[in-house]
Order: sequence, then C-alpha cells, then structure tokens
Amino acid sequence: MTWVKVKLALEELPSGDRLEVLLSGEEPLRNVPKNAAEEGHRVLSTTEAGGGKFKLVIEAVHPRGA
Amino acid sequence: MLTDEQARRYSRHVLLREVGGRGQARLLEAAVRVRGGGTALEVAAAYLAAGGSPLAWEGPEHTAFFLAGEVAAAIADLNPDARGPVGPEADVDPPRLESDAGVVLLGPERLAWFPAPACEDCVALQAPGRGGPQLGALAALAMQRLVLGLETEAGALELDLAQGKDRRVAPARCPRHA
Repeated sequence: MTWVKVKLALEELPSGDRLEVLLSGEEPLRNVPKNAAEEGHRVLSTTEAGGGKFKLVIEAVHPRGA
Repeated sequence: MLTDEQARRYSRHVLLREVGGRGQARLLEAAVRVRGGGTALEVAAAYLAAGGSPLAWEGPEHTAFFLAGEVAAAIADLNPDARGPVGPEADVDPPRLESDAGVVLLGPERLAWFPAPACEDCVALQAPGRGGPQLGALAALAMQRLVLGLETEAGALELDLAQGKDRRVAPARCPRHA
C-alpha cells in the first residue's frame, strides 16, 4: 500500500514539485524508489532520518497532456 | 481524490498505468445506464460495479445471472461505491458521461462501442442479442476504456468462442454515420 499512497500523492502534484516521504521497512525502501523511477518520476535523494526511517525525495514528472 | 478506504479497495486499479488515481476517480463518477437484460449484461454490470461505477438499470427484470429482483442488493453488497442509483425501479437521473458514450451488445458474440452517441439507426442495424459471460466481461472493459478516455474512436469486437479469441472489427453504422 505504501507505493499506492505515494503514487496517488504524486498524481496530485504538478510536474517539478517535490514530495518527501518517510519510509520504514526494507520492502518500501526497495520498491517505492524503483516504482517511482519506472513511472518517470525523478528520485532525488534517500537519506537516513533516524529511528530506522529513511527520507525519500521525489520530483513529480508527468508527461505532457497527462 | 480517493478516500483511504477507496485507495485500499482499488489499489490494483491505481497501480495500473492506464488507470491510476485520477482514472479510478473517473470510474467512480461515471454513472452507467444499463438497458436490457441477459447474462452478458449482468456480468458486465457486476464488473462495472466492482470497478466502482454506480449503475442505473433501465429494462426488464433480470433472471440470467443474479436471482430476479436481487440485482440491486447483490451489487450493493459487491461494492458500496456502486450502490448509487441501482435497481430497475429506481427513480433517478444519474449524471451522464459528457460524450454520452455507450457500449452496445450486437449479438451473442459481438459488441460495439461509441464515444459519441450512436443513433437509433446505428443500433438497429443488428438485433441486440444475448451473449454469455465472456461477452459481458469484454463489454465492461470497453465501457471502462471509454470512461478513461482510452477509446476515442468507435469500434467493435467479435468473439470467437470456439477459439477463445476476440478480434477487432469495423463497427456497424447506419449509412448516415458510416
């Protein structure tokens, strides 16, 4: 469900806007950046945020007309 | 914007590139009028309801797939988002698709879709028939593709039940619209 929620949030952002996501757990940390990149968004950084969490910054990229 | 519950319910649709959250929101807003009866139509209705589209029945009692008189209850149980204006006796005027798009079952093995309304003559070119569940599933998919804007031209599908295949064919139109 983590990627579903991130995908829905990215759809609401105009191209160029950034989304910060706090992730915990190995699976979301592996899948969310991979899926975001596959959908054409730009994964800008992944940094440790403490407490076993990671902060992921994604720039929304939407094809023209979408 | 989908609610958290809808995001969970339609997560598999959201993951599809052709649908996503916005596409799912369109499916939830697209009230679909269902005219007629028979297995194919009721299977199509079940798929459309599962996809979240509210249904408005216009037509006779349905006996083929669900028990007569229980269609509305069955669909409401299937998905509360499709509960809307269901039931053949429902006194409703659901919002129509902007383009008034439609899918017409043209026989037991053929269906056609129209992004713009088909006139009476177009539809009357072939007598509506009673297809099976396979045709119903394809009809629901064609309707959802119209709602999502993935079909912008009129088209038709012919189902080869013996081979288990379908193929696109030219839609039947009246001379005025051919």
